[in-house]
Amino acid sequence: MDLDLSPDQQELQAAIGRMAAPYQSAPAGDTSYYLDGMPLYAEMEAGGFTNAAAMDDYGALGGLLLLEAASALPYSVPLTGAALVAPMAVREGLKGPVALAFSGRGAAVRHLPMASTLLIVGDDEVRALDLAGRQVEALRSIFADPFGTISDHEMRQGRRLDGVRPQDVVKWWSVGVAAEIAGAAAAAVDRTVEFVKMRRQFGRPIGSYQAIQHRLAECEVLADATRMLARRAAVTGDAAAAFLAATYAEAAAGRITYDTQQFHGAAGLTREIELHFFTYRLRSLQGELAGVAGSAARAADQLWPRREARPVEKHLVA
Amino acid sequence: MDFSWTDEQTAFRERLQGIIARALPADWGEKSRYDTSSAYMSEFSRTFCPMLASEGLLIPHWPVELGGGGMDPFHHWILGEEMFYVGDPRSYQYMNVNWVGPAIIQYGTDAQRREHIGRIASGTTIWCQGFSEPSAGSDLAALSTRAERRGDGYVLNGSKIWTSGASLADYCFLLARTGGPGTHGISVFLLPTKMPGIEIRVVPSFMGQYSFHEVFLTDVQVPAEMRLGEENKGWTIVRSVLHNERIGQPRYMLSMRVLEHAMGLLVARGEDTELARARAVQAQAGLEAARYLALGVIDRRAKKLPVDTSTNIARYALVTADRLVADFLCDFLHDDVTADIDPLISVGFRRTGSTGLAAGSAEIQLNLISKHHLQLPAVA
Ligand SMILES: Cc1cc2nc3c(=O)[nH]c(=O)nc-3n(C[C@H](O)[C@H](O)[C@H](O)COP(=O)(O)OP(=O)(O)OC[C@H]3O[C@@H](n4cnc5c(N)ncnc54)[C@H](O)[C@@H]3O)c2cc1C
Repeated sequence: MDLDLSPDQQELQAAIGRMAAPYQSAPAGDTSYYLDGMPLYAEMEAGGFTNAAAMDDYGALGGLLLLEAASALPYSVPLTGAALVAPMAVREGLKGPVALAFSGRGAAVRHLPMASTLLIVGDDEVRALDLAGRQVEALRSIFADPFGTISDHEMRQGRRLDGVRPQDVVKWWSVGVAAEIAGAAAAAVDRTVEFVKMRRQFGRPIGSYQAIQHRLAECEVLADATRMLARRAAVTGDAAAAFLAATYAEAAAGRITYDTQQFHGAAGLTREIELHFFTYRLRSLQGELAGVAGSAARAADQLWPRREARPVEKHLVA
Repeated sequence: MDFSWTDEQTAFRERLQGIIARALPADWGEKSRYDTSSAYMSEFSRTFCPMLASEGLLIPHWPVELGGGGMDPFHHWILGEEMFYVGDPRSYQYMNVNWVGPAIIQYGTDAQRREHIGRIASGTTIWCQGFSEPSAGSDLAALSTRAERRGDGYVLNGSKIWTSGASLADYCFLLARTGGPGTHGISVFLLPTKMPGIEIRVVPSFMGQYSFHEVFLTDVQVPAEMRLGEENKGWTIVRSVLHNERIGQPRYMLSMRVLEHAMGLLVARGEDTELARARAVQAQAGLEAARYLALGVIDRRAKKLPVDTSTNIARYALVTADRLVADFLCDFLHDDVTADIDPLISVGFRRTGSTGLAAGSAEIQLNLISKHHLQLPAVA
């Protein structure tokens, strides 16, 4: 048991931090719904960072650290598929960025407009679709990451990946979502802590009110616990741990979004401060894997297998 | 990062499990009701703890010079986890070995060490903790039980409340005011519970059998030799030895067991609906979060890093997780909870009520996280 990052992992984290530093805040005056983090992605890929999870020194935690850090930036950096899911569950090099979708559910796929490959999870197979020349429509989304849509017909053109198991893809996707929630949650809480120290009402900082202190402290506990569970899932590679981490994270995301937005007052509902990148990112991550119900159903199947299968919505159990 | 136990730690855990399994009677659940405070458990501890001592497992975390095994904080925590999993058959002797003994070792006179340490280390004496008072709960430093200097000794007057196991205990680790107001006027007394002027009343409750007492002190005459450490330095003593206790016991172990048992019942009955399964997972995730956050605190301790707010964060995570367990039991195992027949379900439900109070309330944890971790401004 050693719950600190190893020296190698710490070094990796510091290197990621240096690379991400120029992307810590949005350009002055920018009011976009999302900021294009492809330049950072390209830099990370060129530096070999997106492959950290496949390296013995780092393992899955290497990929996870990338996701945690990127999700705490206002910029959208499409790392989930390329830096974690592909190296851990597919192992064959896919052209990144890699977007992720369940087959037949291409209505709103995160990072699709940026992606080179779409990894498609079916009931009993996994396909990879090279997106070059494919019909991908970018959606006008208000969330902090770009979304796109793709037809069932296009999805079916994907190449079947032999030996890649759908449950492994969903497992690592769950770990990724938990890590991204951990990153965005930490960023939302940090920014809110700074805000409530500065904002004064009734002659004192609103952060001195216990009603606000306690709820923010609870958010901090949720964010810390989310990160711990995600890291544990990454390090152990255990399926139950992955789905438990995602379940916890998804529930935390709703709560943290609400409180951090609330404590910013009306300002929290604008595109003139950066909070929205994190709250809206949290909101979209919350339901990406069918939310608490979906992740909890997967975890329960690991923890308390049923004697006979009962009908469950297919995409929930994948 | 490494979430696995070493072979040696696993062997230690397995050895403990074997010893505990052999020591507990087959009907342990029925007899003990997993109630640390029961008369049965307390009596049981008087043979169980000496047996642990003979196996070198009562104080394995004490330094070798003091008869301990010099084991690291992870071993100490594993010991706590395995004990708590069965309701802690050490009963309140867990306090002796976790902090009462260490406090006496660190701050006691030779005579005090001779009198107490041998008995604590052999598992033959029971202590209780006399801190809280009717007007001093979270604000413990407001305590008003007085110890007046008289001749060579002191005279104690006042009352304590919520004292767990007081009517079962041989000694009380008692805080009393010897000086002015606040933290600087408090001293510790190592008080035998059977002394003239001490009256103990059980407070009927929804916790364990002997979880709560009132202790009335009327002109209790004690020699100065019963004071631990310097006069008016009690707060420093308590702070230094209770560091380890702030995180509380590994209560999540019993809660995890209860949840596993509860889900076993629902699955067997075909009553594990999607909603029940999801809620069980949420409770399990909460408990695992609490466990790994607690292990993070132990990891810091093992690395000899100073105590920080990770302790309060871990503690609060446990409070919320235990609440999810109680909600789960009430929602999905109504008949079992109300019939009060199944000891695990009953203790799981009952115990979760106190997680947010004992060892520092949930709100106090949030205050500490706000102040020291988030560094939010104080009220002007
Ligand atoms: C099962 C159990 C066993 C116990 N055993 C012992 C024992 O053996 N020995 C012993 O000495 N004590 C014992 N206690 C007492 C325990 O330490 C106290 O219950 C605890 O310190 C809280 O004090 P209180 O009950 O007086 O509540 P109070 O301090 O009156 O608190 C009541 C409520 O007000 C809140 N509150 C108080 N101050 C603040 C603040 N500043 N900001 C926000 N909210 C606040 C609290 O969080 C709580 O919700 C035990 C308690 C329990 C539940």
